[in-house]
Amino acid sequence: MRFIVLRWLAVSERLVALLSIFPFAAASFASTKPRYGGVLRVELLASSTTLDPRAWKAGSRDFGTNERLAALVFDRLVALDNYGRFVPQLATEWSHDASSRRWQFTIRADVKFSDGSALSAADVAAALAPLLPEDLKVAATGNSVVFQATEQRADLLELLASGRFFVFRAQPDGSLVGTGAFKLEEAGKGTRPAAADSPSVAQTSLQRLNFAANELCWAGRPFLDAIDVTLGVPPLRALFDLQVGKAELVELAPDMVRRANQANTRVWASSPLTLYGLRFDDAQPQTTNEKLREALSLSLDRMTMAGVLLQKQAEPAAALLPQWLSGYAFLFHGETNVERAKELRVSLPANVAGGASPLRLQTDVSGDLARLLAERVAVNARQTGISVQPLGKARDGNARTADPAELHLFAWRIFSLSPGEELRSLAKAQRVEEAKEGNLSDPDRRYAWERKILEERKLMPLVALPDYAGLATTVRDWQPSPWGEWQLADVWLEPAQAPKTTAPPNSAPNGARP
Amino acid sequence: MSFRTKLFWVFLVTMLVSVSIVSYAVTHYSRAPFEEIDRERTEALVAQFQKEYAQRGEEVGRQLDNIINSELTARMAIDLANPNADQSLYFRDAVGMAQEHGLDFVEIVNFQGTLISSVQYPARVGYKEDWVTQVSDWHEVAPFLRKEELPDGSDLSLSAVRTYPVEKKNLYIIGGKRMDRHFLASLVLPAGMRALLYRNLDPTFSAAEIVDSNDTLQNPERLEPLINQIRKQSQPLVETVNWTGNAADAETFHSIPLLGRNNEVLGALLVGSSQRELVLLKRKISWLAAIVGVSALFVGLILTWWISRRITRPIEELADGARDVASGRWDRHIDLRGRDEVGQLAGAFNEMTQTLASQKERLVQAERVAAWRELARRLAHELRNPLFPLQITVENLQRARQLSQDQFQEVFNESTATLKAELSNLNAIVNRFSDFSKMPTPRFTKVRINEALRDAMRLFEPQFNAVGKPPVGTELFLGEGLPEIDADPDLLHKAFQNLILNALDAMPAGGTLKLRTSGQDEKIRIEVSDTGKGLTPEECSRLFTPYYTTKQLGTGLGLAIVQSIVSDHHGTISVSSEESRGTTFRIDLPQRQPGVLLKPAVEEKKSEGEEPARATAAANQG
Amino acid sequence: MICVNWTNHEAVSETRSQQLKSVFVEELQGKQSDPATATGNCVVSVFLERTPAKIVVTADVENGRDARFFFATIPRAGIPAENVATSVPRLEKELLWQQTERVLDALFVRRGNGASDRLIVLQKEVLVVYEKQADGWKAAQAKPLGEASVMQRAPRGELSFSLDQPERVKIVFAGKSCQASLNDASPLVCQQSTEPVRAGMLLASACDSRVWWLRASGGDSTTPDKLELVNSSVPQGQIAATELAMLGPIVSISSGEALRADTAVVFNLATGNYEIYRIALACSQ
Repeated sequence: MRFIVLRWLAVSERLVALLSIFPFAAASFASTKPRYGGVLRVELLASSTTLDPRAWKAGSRDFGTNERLAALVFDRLVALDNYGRFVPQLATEWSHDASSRRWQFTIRADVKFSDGSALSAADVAAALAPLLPEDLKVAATGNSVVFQATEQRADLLELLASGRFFVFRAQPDGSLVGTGAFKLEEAGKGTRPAAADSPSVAQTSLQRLNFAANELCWAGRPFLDAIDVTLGVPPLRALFDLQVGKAELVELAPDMVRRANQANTRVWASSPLTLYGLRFDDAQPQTTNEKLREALSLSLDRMTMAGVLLQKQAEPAAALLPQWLSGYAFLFHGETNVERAKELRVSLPANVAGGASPLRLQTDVSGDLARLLAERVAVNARQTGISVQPLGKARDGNARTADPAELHLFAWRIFSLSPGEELRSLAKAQRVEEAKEGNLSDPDRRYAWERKILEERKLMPLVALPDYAGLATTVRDWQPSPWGEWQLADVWLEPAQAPKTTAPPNSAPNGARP
Repeated sequence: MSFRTKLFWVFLVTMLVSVSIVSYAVTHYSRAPFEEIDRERTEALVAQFQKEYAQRGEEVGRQLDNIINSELTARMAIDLANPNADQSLYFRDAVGMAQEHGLDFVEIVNFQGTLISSVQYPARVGYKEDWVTQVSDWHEVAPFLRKEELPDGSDLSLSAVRTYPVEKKNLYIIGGKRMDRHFLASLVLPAGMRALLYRNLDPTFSAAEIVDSNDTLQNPERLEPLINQIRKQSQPLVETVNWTGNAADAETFHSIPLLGRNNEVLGALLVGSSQRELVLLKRKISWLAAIVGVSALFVGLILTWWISRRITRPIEELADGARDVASGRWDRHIDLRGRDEVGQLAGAFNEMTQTLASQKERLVQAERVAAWRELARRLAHELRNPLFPLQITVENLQRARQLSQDQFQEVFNESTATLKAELSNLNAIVNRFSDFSKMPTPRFTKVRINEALRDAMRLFEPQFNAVGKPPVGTELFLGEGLPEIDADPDLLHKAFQNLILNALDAMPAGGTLKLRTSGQDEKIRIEVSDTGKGLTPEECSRLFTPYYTTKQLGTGLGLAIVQSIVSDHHGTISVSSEESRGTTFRIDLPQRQPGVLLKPAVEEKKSEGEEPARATAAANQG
Repeated sequence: MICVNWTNHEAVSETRSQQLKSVFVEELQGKQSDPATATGNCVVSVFLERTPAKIVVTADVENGRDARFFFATIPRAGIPAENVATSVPRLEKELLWQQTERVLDALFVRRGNGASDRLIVLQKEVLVVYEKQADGWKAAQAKPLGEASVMQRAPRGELSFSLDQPERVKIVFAGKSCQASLNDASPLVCQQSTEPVRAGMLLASACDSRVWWLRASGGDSTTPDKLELVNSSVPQGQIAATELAMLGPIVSISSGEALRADTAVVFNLATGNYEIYRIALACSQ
């Protein structure tokens, strides 16, 4: 019941905020029929990207940027629509055995890469093999690919419909080609997307990308002629560019959302996708004290972090997986009890970390938001007598200490629709002991493990942030998924923005995307 | 110590004392103006700092007033006056306010004292800032120093608070500017001075909190004692800091504490004034004094040598001349020129010796005449006594021619006896005169005094116990181990004889004769004492005058002979007497005679050629 | 008696939710249940949650101080298509007040908890607060707009209200933004403002969590308007999901009930009166 009330309040708050975003001019009737042509100008906050899924790091904050851009040029085997239906993409049909260990996908025929070469099952297997978890193998057989898992994989479709599981072909020169609605034409100040083992991949800094419509796309030519992507745009400048018409779609930083709303900008928010949390370093013996962990956990004021510091652009997080992904996050409660925390702290020996010498809190991610959260953690902890020192540059300019920190502030970007895969990856990345609960596809087991992690306070969630974007009013058919995929292939621009375009597109029977 | 040495030391001491006094005075009195200038410059700098501080505070207040008067603040205040206001709306507003109004620190606090927005520490939003709500009217409160808590430490700001009241619920805007090097850089510093700011933000001294606008401060830890003192007592202090071992690198700091609202020491202004100029000046003076002192030493030596030559040489010459005159060279002449006192003295000396030389002949002649007159008088006196009886006797004989043969024979026998006696007397007188005039020049040889005395005593032994006369006792106190002296044994024998004879003559009723010898200071003392009736002081004074005698039958020459002999031996004789107790004659003889060739102890005949010299010497000694 | 607490978090339509609930309860091996009394004392709580690909059913079973959780998942694709996302509620209107004096904007505030409902009416020169009594609306306060009022040929104004601050109302009009207290006679506090006046208002459905945009069809003052309901995410360029014809031009639309219902002011061309309506969405089944 409390959850419902909270949700309603959350909704009402969001809606009150949204009140101001709607234009005040009198309503005008506009055509709903998509128009071809135009260049969508996109500005993103990330300063660099790589389109090679093999180089992506699970949970990194750049995963969203990488995935959105990769989705322009690559396709997956399947997709998940907003109604919960798995939609065929490069795979037209699929089946699995009774144990869900063996899955077979039939590859769509007559699909071509953007360079004109045909897609084969072998290409699919070659692309996906290095991306799959260790317990999953793939092989091509004829026009199908077969996935073989060591244990039950009921979530394989969710897995393949999200994250890095794009199909591509690596060229001899190391570049990658795909079957998506766009192809990468030009990358300014850098190189084309290179192969994962190319030494340039990880360090490639592409500041401008130009994607042109792929006329050979199996799903039909996109409405847009091109998408112009600029990376590394500062948040305020991105909003400004949107407002003055220099861009049609910009990624918004959380602290820009309120400003955008006040300026009546059209704002889109995803479901909470990025989790900020704390992790104790188990290698430091003094941090294994359970009372210390409990005291610290009870001192954290998540409501203020989400509601004030992040100006309601985030939600307090009590679970590792968000509610929209696990369905049971509401069962966890991130309790704040300062008095109880003080009692626990007083009962601790004086020499326990945080007493004589402060607990060092290292932010594993950069950015003002992480720093702000770290400082708030320190302030909350100090209130209960626990001394926490956020690490950063000292006032005298010296670099942060080389000594390992007892606490870490991490950020985790949801990247998979498989909650089991997500939880496993999150735990592994944060060095939590491997689950002994077996197959995490089972919600019981998954819940049990998540509860164990949270009760032992190996990880302490703080807040969860959605992704935000600002849109120009000329952007039409904007239908992103709640889990952050933009699906720009279906977007079209109002005529006023559509420049003197090129020839009308290919109007094949299946030209319009579903 | 010679006059030259004394003169040198006097001169040197005088110079050194003078130089020291002068250098001390110069050092002392030159320090005062320096210190005065230093003080004035420090006061001016402090006044400048205070003015800058006040201006900055006013600027902060002005900017806060601008913030308060803005529409944004009004809306915010109205909204936040509601207890259920959505405070998150204003979370970032402090940043905009700070940027727009050029403030380093801005915080917004609602009427409940809850922090709504903060530039410097946004993570603290939601916590209480009760100190702000405790003052009812912040407009009355001047800008103040404040320690700003930051996520990674703390900072020092000059802050003020303004309020926006809405139905008695205030919205508080706290704003401030950082107290850092830029603040110090606005001060105009005279040469040799600098201003430092210490921000008292840590529990203990931290060198990193010393703000130096010029970045010239080295070894800041040397300021620790001064800063710790000011942290404790929050009073202005003055202290000199030696940065290196060189005193010229010292710097005097006037430190003024900077207090917060609750009079806590939040900082200190340190105005440093270099002591280099003063120290170098003092060193210069010291060097100069040392050079002058050393120069004075050399000059003193030269001058001393020169002056002493001009003064002591003449004096030494004068002294030599006096010694020569004393030794008999009356014709000594001092060859000194000059019109100063020393020259006058030399001239007077020369005049004296000339006079003495010229008067010497007249004196000698006069003495001769006097001596002849005295001799003639004495001779007349001596001769008159026996001549009268002779005359009477001859007259008796003439008258006796009228008498009978028998009567004439009796008168003739008596008269001839009387004539013989008186003629013998006359002969004795003539012999004594002859003896006195025949006093020879002593011929020195080694003589043992004790033996000489015993020899003289032996002659008179029969008289000591003569029959029919009172006995005279003798006591000899002769010093043992007395050295031999240079003396004429004959003359000494004669002198001792005369003294013993005198003593016997002074004891007609008997008594004791004492003889004593002793040696001291290269002299031999001989004492002859009797226990006679003694002498009066007048008699003592005339005792050695020739022909003075207290005896009825004396010629008065005996003691004169003794005196002459003693004088020839370069000795002295004195007498002391007490009436009815006795008289003591004391003779001091030197052991050695100057320029004397020692004659072996063999008697030599006296030559007649020596008599006149002896007579002259005796006459001279009359 | 086992009490079952059943919660559908937008996972499925209400109809289907009730169906599922009945099945669940029957499956509890014949135990009697009272679904109507869903209170905190229920032993069993069932939650239906929607995830991208599945419906997650969570059962919270309390046994004294212990609680156990059970989970089940249902692929969303396996559930037959239903009208949850596509049903369009009906617009309903209720006349609250009418007057001849020009009304710029109005707000109906349902207060509950024994307090009288309020009707706040913004006129050209005064803000009037009416309170619902047994015999109708009674004027409780009248706050002159005073210097804030400006003579305009066609003045427009807007009232804003937030449940978070129920004792206040914000007024935007004539280049000014003012705050008014509803509980006392204190004057308005105004300052310059360039906020434009809204052309519509959000309206939430009581049946589901959908929120619509309610707007006027946009004619001039001589023709009757319609109230149109459009998709709130992209109100521009959308055709109305449903319409409600009014008797004259719509002057303003506001909300004093946290979007559960809106207040529309209409100038009745037939009577010349300003009418104030409460507009709400009725669930259509």
